[in-house]
Amino acid sequence: MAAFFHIDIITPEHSFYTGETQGVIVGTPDGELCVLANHAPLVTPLNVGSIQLNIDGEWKEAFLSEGFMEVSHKGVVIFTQACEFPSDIDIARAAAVMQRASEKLRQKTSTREYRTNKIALARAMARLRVTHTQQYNK
Amino acid sequence: MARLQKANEIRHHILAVDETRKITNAMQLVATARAKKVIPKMEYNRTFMNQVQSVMKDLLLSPHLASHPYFEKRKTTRNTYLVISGDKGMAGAYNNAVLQLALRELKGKENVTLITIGMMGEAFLRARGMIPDEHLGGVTQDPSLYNARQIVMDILDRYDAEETDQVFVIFTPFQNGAAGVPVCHRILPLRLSDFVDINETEPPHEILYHPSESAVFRELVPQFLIAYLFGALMHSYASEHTSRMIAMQNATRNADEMLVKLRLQYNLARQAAVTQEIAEITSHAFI
Repeated sequence: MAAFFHIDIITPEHSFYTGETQGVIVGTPDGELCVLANHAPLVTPLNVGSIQLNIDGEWKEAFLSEGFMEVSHKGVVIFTQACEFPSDIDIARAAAVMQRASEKLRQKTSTREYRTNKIALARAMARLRVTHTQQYNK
Repeated sequence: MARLQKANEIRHHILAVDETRKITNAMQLVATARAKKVIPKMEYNRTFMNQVQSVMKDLLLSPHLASHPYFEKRKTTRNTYLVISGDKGMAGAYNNAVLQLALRELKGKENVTLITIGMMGEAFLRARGMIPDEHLGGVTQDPSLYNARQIVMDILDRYDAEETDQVFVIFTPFQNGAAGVPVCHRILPLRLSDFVDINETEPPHEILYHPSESAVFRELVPQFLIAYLFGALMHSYASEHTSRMIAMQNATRNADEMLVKLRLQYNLARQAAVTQEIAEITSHAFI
């Protein structure tokens, strides 16, 4: 049985999750990273995608927006713009955002709009991916 | 007849004051509800800010962080000011206080980019010959993370393109359940002195930054600024609505006092008119 450690997932709007976990898997610019108890202190940016939490031996997946993770001796803190469990995701809205963003990406727009749309698209796709995986598991 | 006219006049006055009182009372209730909506969120934002700041301080103390544009003082001083005020008046001294500070800060400065959030600020500064370069409508009413993110992206673009060298935010912090004294804070470039009060989490040399210090810093700064601006928007929102709540509370109380006086006057006038009429009738009867 893996050891437990404390994890906080916070956004500027609310505290998404705070409690004990046995492991966490996040996406970093260099690929997926799994953090277990007693990990060395580390700070890394996080990709838009999903986060997997091991709560009582069961892996739970949630949507994670861009942010960064801090691992210290006290535990793990994840700072992100948004984090949602699949049940809280508005699938219709995410699908609409995906369509709009990909349509705008096809048009010629400014660099800034391109970047904004790219992030919006990444978020929408990650949201949809997270909800789908849960449906397959059922 | 003259006395009856006077009583009618007072009655109209009572009706008018009563209508106004209804409006001020409703405004007070709306302001209270709005302020209550945002205050619990501010607590989460403060925790987020504190944590981000402590990571930021760790990073700034790290020996491997090379100098970074977000951290360098530039030689030129082209300032950008972000002025956050309300969209509507009737909020006591709230708008005036923050706009007077903005006026003091802006006076006599060259090469200023002015961004206003809130219609009162836009109109106030425009009337004083400081035409805002950009006006962001609808943001004051809706202090959302989305809005904060859009504004920060815009500011970072300007900063990265070297169109501006320093960025300031002028807003009203919310302190002890009421609007505090307006402040002008520099948000870019960052300085280590901004973080003196913050506790570092680990001895700085022990932390691993992955993939590199500057890559982490690039991600951290927008996160920090978004959280900061989101906080500033929420603080302004809470300040505006508590100010309005108090102003409307006073207005409602004044209307109540006025109504008591007017009702007394009305009754006196009415009674006097009735007495006079009776006197007239009885005197006629004896002739």
